[in-house]
Amino acid sequence: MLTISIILFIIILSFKILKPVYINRISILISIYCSIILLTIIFNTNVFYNYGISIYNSLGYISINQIIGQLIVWFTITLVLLLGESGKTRKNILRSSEYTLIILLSILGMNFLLISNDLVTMSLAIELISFPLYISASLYKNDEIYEGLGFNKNNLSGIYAGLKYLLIGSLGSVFILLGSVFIYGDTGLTNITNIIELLNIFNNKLEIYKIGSTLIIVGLLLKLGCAPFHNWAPDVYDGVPTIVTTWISIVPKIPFLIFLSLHPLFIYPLLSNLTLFSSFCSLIIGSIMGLLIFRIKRLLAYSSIVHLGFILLSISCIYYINTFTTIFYIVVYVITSINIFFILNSINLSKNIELLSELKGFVYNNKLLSFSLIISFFSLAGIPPFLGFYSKYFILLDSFNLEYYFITFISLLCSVISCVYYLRIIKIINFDDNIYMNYKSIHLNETISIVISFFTFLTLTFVLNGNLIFNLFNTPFII
Amino acid sequence: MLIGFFLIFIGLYGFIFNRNNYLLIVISIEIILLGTAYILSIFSINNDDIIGLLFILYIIAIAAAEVALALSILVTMSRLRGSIHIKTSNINTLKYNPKIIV
Repeated sequence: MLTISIILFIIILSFKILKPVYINRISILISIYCSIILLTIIFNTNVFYNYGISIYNSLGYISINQIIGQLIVWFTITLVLLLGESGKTRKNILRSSEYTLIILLSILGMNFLLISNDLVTMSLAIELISFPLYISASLYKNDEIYEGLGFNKNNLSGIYAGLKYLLIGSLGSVFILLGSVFIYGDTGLTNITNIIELLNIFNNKLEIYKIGSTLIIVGLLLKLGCAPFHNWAPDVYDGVPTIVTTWISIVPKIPFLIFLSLHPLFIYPLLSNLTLFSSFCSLIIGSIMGLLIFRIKRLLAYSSIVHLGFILLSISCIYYINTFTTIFYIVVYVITSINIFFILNSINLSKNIELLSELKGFVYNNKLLSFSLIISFFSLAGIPPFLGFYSKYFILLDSFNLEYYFITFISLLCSVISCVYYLRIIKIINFDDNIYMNYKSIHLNETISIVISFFTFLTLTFVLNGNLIFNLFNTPFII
Repeated sequence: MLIGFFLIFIGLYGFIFNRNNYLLIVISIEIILLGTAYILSIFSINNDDIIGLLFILYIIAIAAAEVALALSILVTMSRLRGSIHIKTSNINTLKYNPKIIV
């Protein structure tokens, strides 16, 4: 019902009766409403505790994990839509109503992907996620009007980024389609539950099936931007405006990763070597290549590759462990990176910044904002009292208990190396001279400042009462 | 079956080794999708199952939507830059800017 009503909502809004600003506000309210509904479902039902419910004539499947994934997606999208509401940004990015409608369409695809239990639904939902992303990457192509968006004049990189994203993403979806075709040809089934039952009967002796699931994993990794296929990600994330970067670099990763962790069909023990190899590559490449970079969004793209490496490490152990560690890492990564992008966007309101050197002496301009930026970078680096340390700790603990000693050692080493560039940013903010910092002081919106302060508070004080959050989510996360 | 694999490899070859035109890359993606649909039809005949044929319809629709998106982006690009050749339009202009030192 929720999805059908969202489809109706998109159709009604696309007639352009309302102003784009009102459409954005209505969508914010709708997404808050959806996340509240999903929260009440999580806390009030004990119906699907160990097992789920098959829906849409067994094309879909809902259990508590899927609902938690949908909750994370809706919560994140509320924040992304709130970001379009601030001052100068609102005038520019909400000039047309396409931005909001495209985001809503993609969210529809994400919800379908999370509940899909069939190869056909899976591939169609992945397409429905991807097409709006290509459009929104290439939507803001002209110059001179987009001052508040963090975008250079005379810079056509938005359209190139969109084209690159489209070509690589469509190659990934082609791989996913080809893989599902191979699985269908070998087993004659498209329902994932039936395929798992068939595999249990045949004791994993289906050879063409292995080729098919390998192709599906390769396609998903290509869409996520993990390491052997990572080269498009920094170009695309750097080429688009900062608000669109917030949207396309954080949100689409959530449903893909949760889908991978919920269906170990594609990663049954033989194939977990593939994700282990990918996590190894992404840890090393992300941490070493990030040392060379001096553009902010490019650096954040490489840091996201490192975090994808950690998540893939926990996904390749998922056959033996709880999904709790994976989902906790995803939530923590989303919180900290959304906080960083909010701060960057609020700096963009007074002056566009693209380079790390433009942050020199930022602490003399706005002390509280720079404090929260420093806190969230510490949390990304995994310094102990903050939130990011605990998520890394759980993943390393799990992989160590499963006797993956080599990859645990490599991930420890790479998190140390990636500390270098996070700490370099903090050094630039605090201890460098105030050379470039001659722009006027920043005035924040109420909404943006509330979000930034809440997330910074959460990152700081998780150490004081972490049990509050763990007890909250302890029961639903048990499989 | 061999024809389908042949089409897929032609498409992959065109996607990787093409250095002239963006349009040819889009066409090679379409060729890969065509090969996929061909293989799928043979599989569905072998399995004696109707779902594969339905899946082909979805694949064709996806291919059409992808081509529409790619063509619209290419049209805007040629209008802004004047050409859609790969060499004349440097996609990596953002990579390193040597003017500014950290």
